[in-house]
Amino acid sequence: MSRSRFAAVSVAVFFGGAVTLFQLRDTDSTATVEVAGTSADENAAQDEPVSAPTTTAPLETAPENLGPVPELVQLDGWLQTDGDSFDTVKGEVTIVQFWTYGCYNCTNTLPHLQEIYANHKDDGLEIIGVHSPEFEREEDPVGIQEAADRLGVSWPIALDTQKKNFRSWQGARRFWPRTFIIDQNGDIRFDKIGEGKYQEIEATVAYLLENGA
Amino acid sequence: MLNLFGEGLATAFFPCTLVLAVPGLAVTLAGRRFAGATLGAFLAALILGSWLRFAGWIDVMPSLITGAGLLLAAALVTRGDGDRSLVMRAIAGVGAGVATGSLWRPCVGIEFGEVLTNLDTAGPVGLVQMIVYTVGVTAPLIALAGASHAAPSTWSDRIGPALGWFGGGVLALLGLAVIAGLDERVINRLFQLSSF
Repeated sequence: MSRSRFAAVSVAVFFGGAVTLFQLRDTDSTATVEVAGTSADENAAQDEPVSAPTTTAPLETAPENLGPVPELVQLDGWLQTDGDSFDTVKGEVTIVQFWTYGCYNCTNTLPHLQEIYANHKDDGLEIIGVHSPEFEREEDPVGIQEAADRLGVSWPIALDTQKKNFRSWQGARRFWPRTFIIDQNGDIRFDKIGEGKYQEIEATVAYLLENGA
Repeated sequence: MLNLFGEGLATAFFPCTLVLAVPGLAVTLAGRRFAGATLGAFLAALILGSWLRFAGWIDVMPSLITGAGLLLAAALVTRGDGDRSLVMRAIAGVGAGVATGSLWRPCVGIEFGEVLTNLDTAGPVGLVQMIVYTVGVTAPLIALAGASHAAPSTWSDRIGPALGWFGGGVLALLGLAVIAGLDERVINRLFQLSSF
């Protein structure tokens, strides 16, 4: 076999193998979240598409306290709420997610947040989506509202058009999406960059709602 | 690690990877018969710079430095083949890699999101995870470098200079855009062109 043919075959095998492995990854997930009342299989299934609503049992132990939450400051307005500041949810268990509607990974998280919201809204859970646009075209509030309607975002949206909160909350490690859980005392009890860990998010919420901060 | 590599590979053609893919493709093409070494230097600088930035130890570099890195790379890859071609192309790869590490906004899926969440406390393990993910993301470029190495030398000799000028031109345009403060618009445009 000539050198170029060998290279072509190697590349084809490499890509084929990698894509196959990726396709199979859900079946051998290595999720290691320690969540009370869930089996390894349930953990492995946590990132699959949302179907029928299910409620996750609370964490067995208190989630680590990661310190006080920063204020939401110099916002450019709110959508889907009569409130006009972070004060309206003080004392409540609150999920704060930094997102932008043009972000593929952000929109992947939304069905899971919708399920968690449906499961725990009546128990006192609040969600605030802090919309921090990545590009100019994502800055228009009309476009944000249309996207929220299309994506099923029913919780209040804080407009962080200048990304001041995006920077002050995340420091040098700034990513979309980033999800925080705030307890009743205003302390951060969960911090996750990117997609995933939905079962841990719900278990943390359930723990805080059941046991308090 | 396989999941992490697979997630990187799956995002290789996503809009969020274009910011990395465009300069990466430019240095690989312009590296000509040293494509592997040029891309290797690019990836080493990219991974190290991204690791330091994503872990929060350094912030995004000033536009002037980022643009200068790209212009340096552009100047070096357009030079013809000579005694010091390998060294010049490697330096070009490092310049472009450092600059790209400052511009890259990766897709943050399940696996890489977990890596990023813990990157500031993971130490060397985090660096290894960054290598695995980035190799997945840049697998098409690595394949291209391999293919160019396997290509007949007569073929690469014929189009080599044109590839050098093409790659250098792309790097120079990107560098000038960054220095002029147009990088956001360029990245936005790349996203729009590649969104489907």
